[in-house]
Amino acid sequence: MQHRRQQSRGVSLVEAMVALAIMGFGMLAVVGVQATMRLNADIAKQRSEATRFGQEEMEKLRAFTAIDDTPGERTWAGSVVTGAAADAVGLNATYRINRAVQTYTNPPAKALTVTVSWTDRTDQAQQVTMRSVIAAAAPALSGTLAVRPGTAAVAPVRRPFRRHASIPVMARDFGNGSSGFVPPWQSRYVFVFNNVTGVITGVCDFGFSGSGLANDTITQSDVASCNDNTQAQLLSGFVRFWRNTGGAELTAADVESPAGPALRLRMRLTLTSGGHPPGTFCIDDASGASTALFNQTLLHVTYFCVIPSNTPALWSGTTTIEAQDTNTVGGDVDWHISDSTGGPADEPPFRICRYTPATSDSAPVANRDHPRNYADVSGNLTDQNFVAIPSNKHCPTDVPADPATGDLVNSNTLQHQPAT
Amino acid sequence: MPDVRKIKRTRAQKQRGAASLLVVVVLFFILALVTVYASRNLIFEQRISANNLRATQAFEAAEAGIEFSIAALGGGRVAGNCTDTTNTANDTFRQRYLQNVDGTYSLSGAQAALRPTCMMLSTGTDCSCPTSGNAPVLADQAGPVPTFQVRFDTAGIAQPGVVRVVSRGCSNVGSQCYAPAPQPADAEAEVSVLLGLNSALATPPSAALTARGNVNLGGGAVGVSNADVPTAGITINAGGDVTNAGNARLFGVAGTPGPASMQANDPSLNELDSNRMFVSVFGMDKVTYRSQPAAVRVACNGACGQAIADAVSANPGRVVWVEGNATIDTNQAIGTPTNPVLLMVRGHLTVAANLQMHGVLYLHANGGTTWSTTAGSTTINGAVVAEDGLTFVGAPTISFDPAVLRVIRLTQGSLVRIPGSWRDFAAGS
Repeated sequence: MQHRRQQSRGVSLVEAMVALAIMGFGMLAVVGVQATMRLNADIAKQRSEATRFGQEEMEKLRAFTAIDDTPGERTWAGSVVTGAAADAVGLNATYRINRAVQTYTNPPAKALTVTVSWTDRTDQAQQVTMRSVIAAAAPALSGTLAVRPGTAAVAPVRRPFRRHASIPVMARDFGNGSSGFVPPWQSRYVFVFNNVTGVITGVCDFGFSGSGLANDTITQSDVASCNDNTQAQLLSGFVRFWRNTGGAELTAADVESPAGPALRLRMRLTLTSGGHPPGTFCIDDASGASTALFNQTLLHVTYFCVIPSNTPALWSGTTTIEAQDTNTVGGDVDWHISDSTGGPADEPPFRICRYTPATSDSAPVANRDHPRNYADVSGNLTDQNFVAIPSNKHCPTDVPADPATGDLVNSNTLQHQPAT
Repeated sequence: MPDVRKIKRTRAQKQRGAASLLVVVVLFFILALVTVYASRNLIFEQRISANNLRATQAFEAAEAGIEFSIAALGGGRVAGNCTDTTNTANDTFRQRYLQNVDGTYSLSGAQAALRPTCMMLSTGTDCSCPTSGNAPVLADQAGPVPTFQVRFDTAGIAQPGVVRVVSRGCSNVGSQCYAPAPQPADAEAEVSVLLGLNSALATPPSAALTARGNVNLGGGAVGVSNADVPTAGITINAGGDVTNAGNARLFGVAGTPGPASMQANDPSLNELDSNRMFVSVFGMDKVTYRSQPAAVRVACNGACGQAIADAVSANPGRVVWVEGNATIDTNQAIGTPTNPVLLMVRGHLTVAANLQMHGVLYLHANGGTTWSTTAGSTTINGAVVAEDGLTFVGAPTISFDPAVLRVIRLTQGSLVRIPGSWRDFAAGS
């Protein structure tokens, strides 16, 4: 028993030593794993840090305000370049940041590689790499996108004289969003236009004696009493004259710019739409006692019609020209509008042709292209032109303009009066 | 009893050493488990770090796809590998992946299936811009190469001139970003952004010839026409005087006397300085405009008619910015009614041959441009704008064409990010 106990004791020691050895080796392995784990954890932390530094560098490169040629600003051309950024100091490592940039010129873009490298605790080189592309699109492009004038549906327009294109160019800008227009041949009327919409907001009638106002000198206070007494639309245009009865039939080239001189006439507008307040009238520079007409220096007639708007602000109607006896230096010309030719020399018959790209009266045509009968005209209409030609000639036709062949204008006409 | 004790003792005697060892091993196993459990955080941290890097690489690749699209949509003709080409058999990136119907972008069925794809190598991008009906084809690459794939989308976008670009980035060549790849990538990221057309012609001119300063027609038979009633048929709109108009052929709307179609001394022009004039037409300053993706620059000093024509031919739909005095010395037809050209000449312009142009000609030489037509006939369909004064030598013909201006306004210019539209989740959700 004693012997046995003694034997057991010795075995216990060996056992304990073997156990200790196993435990020791085991612990060594665990410690080894622990050490590797610590190193890897360290590298992991450094890698995370390096990733963030790389991202930061990438974002810095994206933060340009201009593309090139802009002193004092961070530019795409100047800052997105190959090179080394300043070293970044992390918790237990220092990171070296390198950029490699490949430039494409057409379209301008840069492909870049950001490499962040460092040495870990065991003096091993480590690095992370990220790649991206940066286009040469200045942030201002996105900015100006938001402040674009107009929209795709409503075209932005350049407005000469900062106002609606239909306002006569001679009109005086009052500087308060409206313009005043005095027909230059008589100062009885003053039209006041809204600059933005072109709508006539006021018609001033100073009576037959006239106001003495002129476009160059008129001020807002001159029309203070009548600058918003109506809502009206404008219809305007010119009447040209071809007076020569001789020669061949007229061609389109003849009526591109007929020489005149003008004859006395009155423009009439017959409305077919209802609901218009009273006050529709037309004025022209050939209806009064015109010295220019008498001297035959008035080469063409300018007319303006004012149509007070009905509720939908759409008017329909037809313009007609009324011939009037014309007292000129050559004598009285009692011209009239007729299809029949001949007659006394001082009573010449004329046809009235209207300029329009339409090829027939029946072809549907936009109001701006001068139909015989206007339908539902909104806003103002300008450049509704006529030409008067002797009745022994016919309204010439033309083809659409082709600037390449030198034909700059489509002076196609259709007979307007007498109505065919 | 003694038997029993003996047996017990014998067993104990046999098993004593092994028991000790077993206990130690069990203890050690427990210790190892405890150690591993305690290191869980460290292991997670490593995983997080690696995933973070891959996610970042995938995200940067996705962002690269957006930027690549912005650049490419502003570019000229591209070959199958997305590099620029002068071969007119190729179309532009924008023509290939988007269709513009009266200012609104849409995708045909074939276009909706197309996926331009790029791999980002250390030497730059290796891209594939597939044409209708084709899948992208790229060479195999060794190592982790970030890859992105781009698609366009117009679903749910009612606004004209706007398109959504969706870019998927992968940390390496994976099947999410490039279908032929054998394995999925470790990380992928998808971002989308709305791109809006920043029109190359923000405010189209409303006259055939617009000049901020004086216009000297030189006494020649310069032809200027504008038959467009909505713009009141203005032929010349000048901030200064118009001189020597005696022989000029001015045609407004048919029947309107020539001089009545001219608007000189316009305060809305002469109150501007040179840079403001540029901004009033194009909506941005010169440097930004010139360096936008949709502008191509041509350096010029002297004869460069062919260089300009080549630039126009290789870059349909792009603004051509000519730096220096330009002489067009060979017969050229620049632009068509359906594909007009916005040509900017920063210098004096001399035309010594036949020149037929559809588009807008913007002239800006310091102190006023001299436009000489020494031989041949020059016809501009569209409009001409002079940033300063304009002096004619010779007799070109300028014809206002609102349709040409409309095409330029609705289709040309850079597609750029719309602020606030960036999404890194599925748009619309």
